[in-house]
Amino acid sequence: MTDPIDTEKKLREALPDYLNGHASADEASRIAAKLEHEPEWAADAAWMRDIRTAIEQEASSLDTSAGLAELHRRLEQEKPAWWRRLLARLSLPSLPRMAPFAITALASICIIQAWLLWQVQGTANEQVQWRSAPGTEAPVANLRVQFKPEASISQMETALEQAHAGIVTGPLPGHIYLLDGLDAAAALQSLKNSGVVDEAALIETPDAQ
Amino acid sequence: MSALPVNPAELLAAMASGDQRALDALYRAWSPRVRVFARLQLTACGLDAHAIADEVTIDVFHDVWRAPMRYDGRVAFGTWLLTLTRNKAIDQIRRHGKRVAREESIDSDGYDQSRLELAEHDPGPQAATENVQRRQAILDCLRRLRNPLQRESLALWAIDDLSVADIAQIQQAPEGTVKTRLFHGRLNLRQCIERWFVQEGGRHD
Repeated sequence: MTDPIDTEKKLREALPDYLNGHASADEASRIAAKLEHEPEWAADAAWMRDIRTAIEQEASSLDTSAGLAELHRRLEQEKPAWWRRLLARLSLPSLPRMAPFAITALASICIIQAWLLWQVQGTANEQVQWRSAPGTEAPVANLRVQFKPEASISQMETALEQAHAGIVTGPLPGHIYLLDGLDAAAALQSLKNSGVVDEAALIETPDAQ
Repeated sequence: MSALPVNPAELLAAMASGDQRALDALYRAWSPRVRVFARLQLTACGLDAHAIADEVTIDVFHDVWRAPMRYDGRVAFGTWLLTLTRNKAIDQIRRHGKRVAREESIDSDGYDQSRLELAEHDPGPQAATENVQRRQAILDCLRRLRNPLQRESLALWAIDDLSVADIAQIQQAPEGTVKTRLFHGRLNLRQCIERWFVQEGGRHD
């Protein structure tokens, strides 16, 4: 069973909240009844109201102008915080001032991007070319020869020496070699007469045209 | 010129965008309460209490101006502002600690010589109304409460109609403790004021 003295004490402790409008509905109704019927409670509530009135009157009697002037003086002396300066720059009224700069910046970005796109397109159209250092160019073949399968290396060497021709590349499939003949026509004739060649033909080169 | 809002949160938002008129409005609306609270808090600083309290008040609003969005709305604006004030006042009390130790000889229960000397400076019944005298007496007794946390609890309760829960949050104490402080604080204050009336009655007879 709850001690009635404890209950009374707890209710009395809730009086400040009741007077400030923060008490629960249950507490409020019980305290209201106490205030109505018990002079001691009423005196306590009146006393608390006196305290509040004294403090409120003290606050309302204070002049704010001197303090505000001092606060303004302090603000004038200090540099505004960086974020406040930034906000001030970005605030709506200042946008028209920024407009020319913004438009110029955007236009510059568009021009640069267009130039970059044009550069990429030019690169795609460029022909793939063989690149080499001067003096190291590969010789151009002007003869195509198919040696007989049974021809030995020495027989082939002899035939090439007699034709004054060198191997550019080979052997390719089918015993085919591409040759660089000093005199393509004479080399062709010499190779055909060598007896170790099945087929021989001239290769059309841009220089020959 | 557009009218300024009166809601503290709206004033703070305007301050964040650099509107100094919002700071002025906030100062006019709230600085008296901050000052009274600071004065009561700084009672221990003796004769300098009012000057230091004024300084604390300006410091509080200067801080609010510098970072208005520090208020996140989780507690009532008054609770937040008075917490800032309390912290600054405590800093000042620590700074004036040595002097406090020297001057803190006043007993809330006792009606000592310094109290009598102060009473000599009170305006007489002809010069001031009974209401003003009573108000001054209550404030004097409030300053003389021996337990500063009882004084602070009563001040917070009276200044901004704060609930016990709000006061507990500011004082970082359980609600039961705050209730006890309010109960004993007003009891001690009442005893003090009763002695004051007895003394005053004696003087004017």
